[in-house]
Amino acid sequence: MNTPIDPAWAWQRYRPSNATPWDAKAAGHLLRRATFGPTRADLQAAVDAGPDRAIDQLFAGRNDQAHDALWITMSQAVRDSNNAGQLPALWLYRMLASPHPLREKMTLFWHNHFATSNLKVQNAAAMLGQYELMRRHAFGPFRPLLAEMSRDPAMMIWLDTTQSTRRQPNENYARELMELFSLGIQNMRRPGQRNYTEHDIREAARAFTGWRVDNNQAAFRQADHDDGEKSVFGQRGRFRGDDIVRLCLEQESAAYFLCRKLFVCFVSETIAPTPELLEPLAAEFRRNDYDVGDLLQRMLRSNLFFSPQAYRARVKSPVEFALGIVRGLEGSGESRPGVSTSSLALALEGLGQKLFYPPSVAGWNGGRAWLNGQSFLLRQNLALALTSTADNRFGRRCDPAALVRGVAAEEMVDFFLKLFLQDDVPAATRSQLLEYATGATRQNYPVFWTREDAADQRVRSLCHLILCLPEYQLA
Amino acid sequence: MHLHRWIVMAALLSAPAFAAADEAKDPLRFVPAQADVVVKIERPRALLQILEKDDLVADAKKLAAVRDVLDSTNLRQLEQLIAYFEKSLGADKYELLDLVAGGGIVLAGKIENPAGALAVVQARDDKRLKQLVEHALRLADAERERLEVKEPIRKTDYKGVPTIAFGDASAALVDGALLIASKKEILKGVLDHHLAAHPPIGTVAAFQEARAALPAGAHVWGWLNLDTVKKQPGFKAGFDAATQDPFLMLLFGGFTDVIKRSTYATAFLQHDGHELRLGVRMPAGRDGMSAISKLVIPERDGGTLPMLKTSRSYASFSYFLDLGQLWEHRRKIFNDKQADAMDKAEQEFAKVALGIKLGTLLQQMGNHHRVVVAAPEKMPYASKAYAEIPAFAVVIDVRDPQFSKTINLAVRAGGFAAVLASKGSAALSEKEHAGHKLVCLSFVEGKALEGDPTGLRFNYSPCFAMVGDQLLFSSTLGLGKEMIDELSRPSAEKPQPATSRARLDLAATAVPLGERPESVMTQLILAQSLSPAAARDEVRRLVALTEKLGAVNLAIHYGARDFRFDVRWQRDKDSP
Repeated sequence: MNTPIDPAWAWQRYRPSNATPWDAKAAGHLLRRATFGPTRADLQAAVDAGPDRAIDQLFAGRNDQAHDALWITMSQAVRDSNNAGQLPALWLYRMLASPHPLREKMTLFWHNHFATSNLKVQNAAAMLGQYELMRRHAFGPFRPLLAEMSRDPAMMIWLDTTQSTRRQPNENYARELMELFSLGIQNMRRPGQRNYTEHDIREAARAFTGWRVDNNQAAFRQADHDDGEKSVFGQRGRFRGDDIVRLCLEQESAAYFLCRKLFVCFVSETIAPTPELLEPLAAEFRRNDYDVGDLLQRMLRSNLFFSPQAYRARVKSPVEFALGIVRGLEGSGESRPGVSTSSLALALEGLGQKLFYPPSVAGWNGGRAWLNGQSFLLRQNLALALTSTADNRFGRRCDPAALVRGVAAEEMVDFFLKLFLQDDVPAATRSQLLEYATGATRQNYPVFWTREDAADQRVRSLCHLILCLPEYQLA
Repeated sequence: MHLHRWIVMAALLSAPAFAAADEAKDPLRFVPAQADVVVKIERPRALLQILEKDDLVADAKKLAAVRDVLDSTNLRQLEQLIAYFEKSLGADKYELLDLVAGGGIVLAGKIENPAGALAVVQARDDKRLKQLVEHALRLADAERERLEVKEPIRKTDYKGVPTIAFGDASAALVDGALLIASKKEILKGVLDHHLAAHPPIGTVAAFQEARAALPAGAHVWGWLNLDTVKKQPGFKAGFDAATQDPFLMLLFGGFTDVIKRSTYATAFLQHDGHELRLGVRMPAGRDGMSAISKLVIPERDGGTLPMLKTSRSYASFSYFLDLGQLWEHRRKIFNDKQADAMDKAEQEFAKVALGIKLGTLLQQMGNHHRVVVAAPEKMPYASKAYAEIPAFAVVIDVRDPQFSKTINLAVRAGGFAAVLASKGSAALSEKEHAGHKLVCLSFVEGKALEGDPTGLRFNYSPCFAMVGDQLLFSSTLGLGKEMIDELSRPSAEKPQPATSRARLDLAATAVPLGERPESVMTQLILAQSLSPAAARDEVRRLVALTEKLGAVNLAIHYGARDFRFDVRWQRDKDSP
């Protein structure tokens, strides 16, 4: 049984020490969690900057007007053509190219939190509108995000707010608002106690009546709104949607609920997020009026985050797995064009993560559910497709051999282990990889291949093997 | 394709041949009379050179997507393999292709008893070919060993003919030709047939008749035994279902009817200067056609009306469809439920059209329909349409002089009903253009319209007009006006006997592409990971390439006793 973690120690600011030094391993850990995987340059820059500045830089992002302008052009083109097929690829492109990867990572967190699928919405513009909303509030205060989400066109179509009228209030949004978006069913601090009743849902549903979507904008129609008195969480009033949001956030459970979700996403899937452990965070979160940025900073700068307990304590989602490879191989660097995100989006769909199409309103299960015998095989195949250069979907854009040419087997092994795993693998694993890299020089190749062809092939195979290691599946 | 398969293919495509001959024999001599499908490439080298020397192909090679393919590891390795053979045999790939396949390549298949495929490659030079196959087999064996493929390449012989087998596939060298069969039983059957000098496919009357109908100089042509195809359970079930479905019969009625009565079909591909032509022929036509099929095919060789064209059109269709006859015989053509639904629709229509019956309109209307699809135009709304939709117009000729009056009343009444139903979101107006009155419906901005939350309506400003004896409906006012101009001037098009025609003006698609490059740019950035600057350049290259694409003309002609379907891709932009 694990020793309980001292909350006071857990959320104290991390200071490098001999036991937990700030090195490539720690920097890699931070960048895997807060971005979609580091490039060689990112890794070195973070090591050089130290933990405080590295985290400051993650929150600040970079200013890149050309990227912003390109995003406006591309997203407008997708809106204009209602080309929903391009939505996943468009976001993957931004994840790879964004000057603010933490903002994209948080937007992905919110996408899983407010899980809305275009399968029902069928409207690329509305889905992009919701994405922009989540990105705008990615680490701002939660209250305006939740209020705006309640009248977001995609959400209104997804959870039937557009069908909800004074005569026939639809309970879907009110239910998910409480169960999945702000409170959770069970009260974490009082076991056995529920956070809301069916009565609360019915009454709250009345407050969200009267909304519809016109010309892709939310439109309120007073005639369809139930303006009567409602009773929610024991309070009475002629509540509207924003009032219900306010009432939800007045509940003690709201802060714990969100802290828990962020904890699982950014700190650990294996440490139990007990109320005691989360208490300091939840208290501060409420005091700060639900400022998500402050909460996330506290988590990322904490002892617990950089502790061995949190290290590799998350399974990479398919998006993290694939983008980590692409970024590691610098397939999105400015000097070389990145991979086709359209092809990547299709491959990720096969791995179970299609952006803008979460499987249900509860989002992706995540964690261990990402890995099973079949999905692991599919990950291996995707890694092969990305690195072999022989797969026409990705071509030669992510060629590991372009990074390492003309070096000895040992140097080759060390290069990729440092890039993808910061050298943190068991000695036996490294020996086996070295044995493969050395033995591969004795393999036969077709007579029409050049020596360079054969050498490049060895590099690609070695890189593929490293990406198939169990350690690489963890964040 | 994996490398070892490339090599095995290369090995099988090259084999020891025999005496060199100035004129290669016809590879069809190996194809038994029982074959159900035959495809022949007459001059492989010429076909390859047409592809490689085409200026459009040269331009296409400058596109990033094509460059990516050309630069791919697989293609590089294939090129290295070809270079290896070129170096080993002292001849370039064109010469090698002539040596191996200068007499033509035939692909033949049998659908059943037993099913299988055969390729015949007729060589010209034996010695070089022998060297090539020796190299190829050595390579294939080494690659097989490297990849730890357990299946050996077996060299045996059958009735004195040397054969090679790999997996199920078998190959043999006979009389200066390489035979490759999908199964060893197929190869044995072909060899038995050839060695016993049985009559080949060329002696079959239907095959001879089909070949006689082919144009001289076809680069590739094919023949299909429809009698056998029609007996296949899968095909038969689908075909029967299609012929019993009245809607499918209206769409494909003539075509399915012709298939039903034809014993074979033949197709060819021909390249002539700036025209690429694909043709399909069948030996049955209007004579003996079922009544329902005649709804979509004129009785005589009357042909179709000229296709229409506007400054922004990129697709134009002209076809025959007798809706009056369809209405009159609806109880025979459709089932009771469908016919009842049509009767009900007529009643509903009459309610909003001042009592005018739909059946009356259809019977007064003519048989010749023309449709034009055009690039989206600037709309008279400040509100932006959510997704841009191309404009389109439909033109139908008039059979009954009364029609003009009836349709005018019906359209105005229907428009008025639509305005009422929209609760103030739509308005009806009348405009004039070149002396013709247009009845127009437009949408009021700032007013919600039930059922259109995304504002798709702002793609439309539908209008209606009578232009002489032609009824015009257009989805937008701009296109409607252009159509009036087009209908008012004499057509430059020559009369055509085809019963359905279409023209896809590929070059015209460059206009919207150039006007709104963002959509393609986005596609290029996402699909090919181009930088924004490279994507912009790529769009410019695409526009330039598209402008050279010319037009594709499709024509379906039901003669009295024959069926002809022609697709002509004409690169000359002034082509008819």
